Amino acid sequence: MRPRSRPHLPQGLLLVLVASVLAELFLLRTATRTLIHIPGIGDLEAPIRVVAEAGRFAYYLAVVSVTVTLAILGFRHVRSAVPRRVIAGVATLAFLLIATVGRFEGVPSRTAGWLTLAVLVAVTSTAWRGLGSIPVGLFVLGSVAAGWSSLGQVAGSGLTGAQVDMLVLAAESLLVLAGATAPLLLGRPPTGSALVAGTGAAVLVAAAFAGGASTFSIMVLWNLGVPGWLPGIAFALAFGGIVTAVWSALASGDRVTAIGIVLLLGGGVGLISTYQTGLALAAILLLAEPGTMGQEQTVEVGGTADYALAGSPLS
Amino acid sequence: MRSRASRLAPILVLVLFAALLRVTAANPAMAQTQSIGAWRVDSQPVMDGFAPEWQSILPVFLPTTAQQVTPPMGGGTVERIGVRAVHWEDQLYVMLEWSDPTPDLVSDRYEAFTDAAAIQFPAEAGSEVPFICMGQADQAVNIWQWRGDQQLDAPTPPDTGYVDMYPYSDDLYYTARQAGNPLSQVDRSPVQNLVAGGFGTLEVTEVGSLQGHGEYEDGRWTVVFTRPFQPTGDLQPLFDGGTPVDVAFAVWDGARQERDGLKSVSAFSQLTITPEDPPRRGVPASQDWPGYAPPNPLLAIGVGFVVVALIGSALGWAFLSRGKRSSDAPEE
Repeated sequence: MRPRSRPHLPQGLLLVLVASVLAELFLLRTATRTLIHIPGIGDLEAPIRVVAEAGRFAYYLAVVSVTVTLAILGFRHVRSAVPRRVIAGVATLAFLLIATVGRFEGVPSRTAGWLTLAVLVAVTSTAWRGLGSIPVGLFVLGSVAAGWSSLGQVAGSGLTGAQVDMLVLAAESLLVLAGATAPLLLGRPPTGSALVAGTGAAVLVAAAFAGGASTFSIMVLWNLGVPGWLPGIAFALAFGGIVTAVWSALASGDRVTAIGIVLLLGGGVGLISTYQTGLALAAILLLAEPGTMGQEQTVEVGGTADYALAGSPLS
Repeated sequence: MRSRASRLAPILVLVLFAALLRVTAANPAMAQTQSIGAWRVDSQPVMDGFAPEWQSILPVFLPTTAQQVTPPMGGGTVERIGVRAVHWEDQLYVMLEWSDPTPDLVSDRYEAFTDAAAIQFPAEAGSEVPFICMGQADQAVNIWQWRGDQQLDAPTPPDTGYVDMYPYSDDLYYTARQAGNPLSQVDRSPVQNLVAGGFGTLEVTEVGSLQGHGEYEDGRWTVVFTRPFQPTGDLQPLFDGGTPVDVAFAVWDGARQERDGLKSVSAFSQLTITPEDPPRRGVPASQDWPGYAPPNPLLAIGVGFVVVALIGSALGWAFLSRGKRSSDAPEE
């Protein structure tokens, strides 16, 4: 059993990306919003500003890193001469173009939103690898449902309130299912220690929800782009699945899978910003790398490497 | 073999470029949150949200959730809010609509609370969205709050019975009024104009040209807010056609004991002033508010069952694989 192949990227780029995403997630999106609960925090305004500024810098670094990552992955896929990789590469580069043009209002935000969803679906379809792709497929379906609930309200005849409810609930359910099935990304059974860690994490989150540790719950829910209509136990199981997958991936040296899962978490479901959609797209491309059970590396006839002719170093 | 410095050079370039973007506050990412159009209309909008001119506009529905960040936490009894926005002669009008079984307009007892609605904007349009709960230290927010009990006229004494007399008319003897409590003023407005820079920093500012009016009908509230594009005070956003403004909403259901932090809140969306005409309805309005229906418990149970089944399968897979590996191992 091999770990997932490492993609051809400049040395350290993935580490910078995942580190900046984690810093942005915990410092900017979480810490600056929860430090207020510390008694006497009013006297610590300067440290809070430092934390917020560090989080903001991490955000900008993450935006730049994910843009470069997507550009490199996109070009390398286009040059591979394998049809499905070419399609994924073209779609990735198209996303970068949409995000850039859209940033300067060169394309209506509604159009940019639909095109973004189309890119996510196209890349996921070309990267489909069977059972191991189910979590990513569920995640993208959730994004489509959430994006539809948003974009569909201003396009054409619009959605009714009941239809919006249904789409939002579907998005949340699919996100929970994606989290709970995350161990399938490993392509092999999770390690025993990972199962213990995942179970512990699920129990902790369930206890937090049951005990009304609301700060934790709302941060997770808002950061992921869903309103939290499902019971807390569903999110606990999803979190347990994610911890199991990340722990097992790291334990077996499969860093790319762990990074991919973290990027999906940072991206969240639905359309929030092109930065967060970019994280999800990068994650989908990374998680499509071969090396998992039943996904042996292949070389196309003519000597062209399929999905990364893998195993080469990060340089 | 490349030197360590040359390998790290691309990363250093990334860091420097990110620092440059931060210093110039040039956010390269584009927001893709829910967009709400503030459409152009040809005549002055009325303040009754049930008027056909409002109801014919296609609403944007925003899911809401309980406020769970700072005590008192809770609420979330209102599932979603419908939002419409228009502009007329450099004046912005925003109409909120939500389902509520009872109108609660009187907060005359400790345990009685009023229905209310609020809109929150960043104090200054910028490249970053402030924290949704009252902003943050370096990113203030401006909040417009409409309260049912403030719109209600003064209660009329009953024809029969005794009414306590209070002989003094000078404000000095109305201590709350004299102290500036906005709820005690005689000429109070149904809306308050508030600014905040984090939890516990909320304060009332001059209402200025801000107006609001609520109407209740058939189990629904509509509240129309309006304000000129140009603000009349500090820490209030300027609306113009070029820059989308981040906006979030909250509503309180008094009958369900919602007040203060106990409320239903939406995430931030983006409000864009547009010169286009409003999109009119293509779907029956009757399908918008089917009544309060919490998420189907059967669906939740179903999701839980599937999740447990998947995790059980994974565990079984793990143990079976382990057992198979053990049996395949050569005996020593």
